[in-house]
Amino acid sequence: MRNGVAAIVPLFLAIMMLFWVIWFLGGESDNLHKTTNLTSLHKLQDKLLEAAIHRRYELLTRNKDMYSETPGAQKDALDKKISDDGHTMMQKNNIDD
Amino acid sequence: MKKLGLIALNLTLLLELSATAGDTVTTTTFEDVPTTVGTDKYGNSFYEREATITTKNFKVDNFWSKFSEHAEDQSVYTNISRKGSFKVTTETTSACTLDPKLDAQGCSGQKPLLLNNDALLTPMGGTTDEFEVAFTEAGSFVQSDANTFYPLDVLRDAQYYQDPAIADPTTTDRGFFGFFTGAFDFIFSKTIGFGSDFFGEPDIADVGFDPRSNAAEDRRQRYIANIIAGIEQEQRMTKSVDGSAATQIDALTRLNSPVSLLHYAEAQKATTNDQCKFMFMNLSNDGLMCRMMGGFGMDAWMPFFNKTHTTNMQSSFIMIDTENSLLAMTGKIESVPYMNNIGGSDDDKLSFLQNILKPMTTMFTMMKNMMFGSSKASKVSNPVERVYDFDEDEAMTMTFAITNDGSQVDDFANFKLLRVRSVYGDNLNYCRVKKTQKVFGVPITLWKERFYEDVPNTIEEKTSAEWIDWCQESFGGKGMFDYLFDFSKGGFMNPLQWGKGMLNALFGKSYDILEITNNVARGLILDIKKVDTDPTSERNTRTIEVMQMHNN
Repeated sequence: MRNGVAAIVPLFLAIMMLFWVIWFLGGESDNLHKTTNLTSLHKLQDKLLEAAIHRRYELLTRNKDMYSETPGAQKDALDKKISDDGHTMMQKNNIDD
Repeated sequence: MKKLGLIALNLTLLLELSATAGDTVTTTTFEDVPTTVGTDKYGNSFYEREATITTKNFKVDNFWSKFSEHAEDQSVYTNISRKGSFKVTTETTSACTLDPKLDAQGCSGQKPLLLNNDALLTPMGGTTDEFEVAFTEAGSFVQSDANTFYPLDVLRDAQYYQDPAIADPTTTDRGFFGFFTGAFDFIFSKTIGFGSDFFGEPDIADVGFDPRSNAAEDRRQRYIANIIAGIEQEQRMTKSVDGSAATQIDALTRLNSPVSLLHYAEAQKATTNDQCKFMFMNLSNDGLMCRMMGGFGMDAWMPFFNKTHTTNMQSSFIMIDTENSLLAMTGKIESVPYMNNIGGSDDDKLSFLQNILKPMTTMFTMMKNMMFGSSKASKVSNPVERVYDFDEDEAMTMTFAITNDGSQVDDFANFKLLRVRSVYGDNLNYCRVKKTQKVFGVPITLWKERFYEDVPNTIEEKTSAEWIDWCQESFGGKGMFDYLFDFSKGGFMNPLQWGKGMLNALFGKSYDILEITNNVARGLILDIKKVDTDPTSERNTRTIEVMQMHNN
């Protein structure tokens, strides 16, 4: 009987170990998850930024009457449009609210 | 124990609340001013530009942390941002932007035209950035001839026009010149008359190759292709940047290695007015050049007399190809058929000509020798200038190679083609006269020769300067333009009517001019405007490269 009670100790140890593993690896997994998310956000941002500069020139080329490069209302409108487009793309990627 | 659980729950709720407080929003901003500006080794202008993208309140959902010490369901990052530097390069590929089907690799802004850098020192009166440059036969580069440009021979990897009848029909569409095929047939004709009887013996030693060979024909097609579409990307000329080698210009080499001054034919002669054999080229009779030259350009206004059409035409193939290519392309770009109109009916011709033709008021003395120098015309008279004015906004932009001494491409410059001015002039070099009546003393020493000769009905060939002058005077003091276009009567004047009358008025029946031999010389002047390439122009090709991306 006594010997049987003693046999439960490693079992407890094993359960504690399991909890530690969940605590430790779980935290690390979350860290990894965050890093992955941040990295993919950066990659997405890079792509969007490159697309934005292309699109900005496209808009300028095709809508000379609406947009302009010289500071003023037309430039602000252009910048806003590009920025909004980026936001929309981010929404479609389930990042922006 | 229950309390503790409640506190933990509240804490979690609080954290969640704070996390959802700010929406995730991404903004993009651009720097106002480009950072660096310059030109690359191909003459394309570029600048660098920075842009930043920022995502505010970026959220990452956590799962495992429920079981961990952090106890956050969500991590929130206030600012995640990236900054990028971009290099924006602009190339002036007017022609190539006309049709998306054109192979971009075959297109560039560079045209095979070499400009003497001295030309850039003397802008046209009243301007700072407009220049007039005269085409010069590319026998050799002459540094002292400012305001000149020269044609260059630059290789293509066979990416130039091919006769569609010969070319594989399945590839015609994609072929680089599928797009221009119509233009070539219409304007330039299919055949080049290098083998024509109208050529004298080619001066092989001078030219460096036999102008009747296929190589010469290739050169011509290549040159036209280069003018229209620009030089192929792979074959573009380079200038020296950071100690790298510049493109060497090898005058009159047998093969262009890598670039040579072009010299494929000149001094064509024509002796009849028989359809297109009048031409200096053996053109197809349907070709516009034929109609233009035969119908309007040449025989219509040559001051022939007594129906003796003796024409000794000095002209340059390359120059005419240059002019026609530029007109064809500009017409295409501006949607104004400059070439088509010339071949139309007389009525169309007239109204069109009234718009584009302006009488020449000045001949540029400094340009005269260059324009006509190689055509051996000792005295160019009665110049006529055809001016094609182009809409500046729409005008074709071209990249010229610039040279200091003709040995290498030292720089590039971009220009808008504002005007093409085609100059014609004639140069009497002999005059055959028949004396029909005995004439007594006219007390002017200069005229002694003609008025004291007393042999009736002799036919003489006069070549002295006085006689040439007299013959020319006898045709009237007016310029050719006036003879040709009598707009007050709304039509062309018959050139045969005035000559005799003028002569008789001056000298009675003493002399008749039987035949005049003319040298006709042509010149080509371009008015160009130096421009900065606009990356937002539809006529330019824009390339955007990522230089660098980094966390802000």
